Amino acid sequence: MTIVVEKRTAAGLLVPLLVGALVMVALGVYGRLHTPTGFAVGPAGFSGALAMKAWLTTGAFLLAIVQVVSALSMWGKLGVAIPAWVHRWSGRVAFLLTVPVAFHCLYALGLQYDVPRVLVHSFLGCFFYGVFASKMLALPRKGLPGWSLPVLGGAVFVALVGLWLTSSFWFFTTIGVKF
Amino acid sequence: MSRLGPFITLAAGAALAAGLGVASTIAAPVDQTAATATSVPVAEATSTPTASAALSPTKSPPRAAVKADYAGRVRGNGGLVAVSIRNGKAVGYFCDGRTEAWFAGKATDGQIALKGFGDASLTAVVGGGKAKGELAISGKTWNFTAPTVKKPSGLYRATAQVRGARYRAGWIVLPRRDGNGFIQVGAMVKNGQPVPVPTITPGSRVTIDGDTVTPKDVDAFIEEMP
Repeated sequence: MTIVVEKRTAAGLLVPLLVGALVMVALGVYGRLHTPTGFAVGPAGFSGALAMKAWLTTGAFLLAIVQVVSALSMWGKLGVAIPAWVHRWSGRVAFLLTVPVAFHCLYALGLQYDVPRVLVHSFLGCFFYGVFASKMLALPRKGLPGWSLPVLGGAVFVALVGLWLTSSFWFFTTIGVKF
Repeated sequence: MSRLGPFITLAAGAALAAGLGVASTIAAPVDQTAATATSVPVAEATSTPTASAALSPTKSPPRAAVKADYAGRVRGNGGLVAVSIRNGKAVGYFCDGRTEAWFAGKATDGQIALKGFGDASLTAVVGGGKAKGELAISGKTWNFTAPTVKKPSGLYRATAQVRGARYRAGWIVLPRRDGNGFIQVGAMVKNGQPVPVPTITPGSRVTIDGDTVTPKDVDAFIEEMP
């Protein structure tokens, strides 16, 4: 009789974290080196680029709440079973919603740090995609410590909340709630 | 699927970003220097056949930013702020009678981010007849909303070197809330030291300590700003 012991080690996180760190630094370097164009193509139907970004980010922010709730259910913390596809698809849609926003930020405006809000936003933006890449790469790996995905997912969520506060929330309170 | 899913997600995001990059390169407006008083760049961008129907340039019309003057009160600190844009170049000035700060930078896509001396900065979104934004001076930040203003309201600046004395002054002129005349706030430094600032009548010269200096409007002084 053999007993198969599943070995769980944090070493498996090394590659996902390294790639995430590279993504993070690459975005920041690009945002600094690329001359902002002040112009970018994005989804139509909004009064301007800022309104488009504020609302897409809000969409991603709401889906991020779905992410946390469905993750809690997945780990049996809620006592309610939410189908796995809810977590997967809300995450995918949220991620894709952020792409035109980040594209406009990095392509049209660049990484800036003149004002605290902009500084925090710039760094959180790079951090967000770095952690997200780590999370995606860690997902299919077997034998990772149990805390890996909750910690990575939690970091993605915290980053997105910070991004929403420093962009959409600022937009809605400073400029006004408009489409 | 569950093994490949995350990779597909990342690839989809990267592909979307790449697609936006290609579309933006194709639909980029013509050189900004060609933009004069018309909205030619936007007309060209929107008529670019390669931009798909679901995508459109999210740039606000540049004509709104070619020439614009904004001035208003800063909430919570008793000062006035003025922002003026000329062909993508923007200048800003804050003054409460004691503290003053000059800002300069670029206006792009309805947004302006101006830098001042030290860590001072002014960021705003312009459009719809007003500039709304944030002012940061010496580690403090304030919000402001400044509506469009017309001459004689607006921003004035004077720099002069008279008999070895170096002057620099700034004024913001605003219509009074009740519509009766104007208010103005200004500051002047002589050889780096603050001195009492004379009141100006836009268009005429002022005398300080026997020296004459000429307040210039934005069109006249924008070239001398960095």
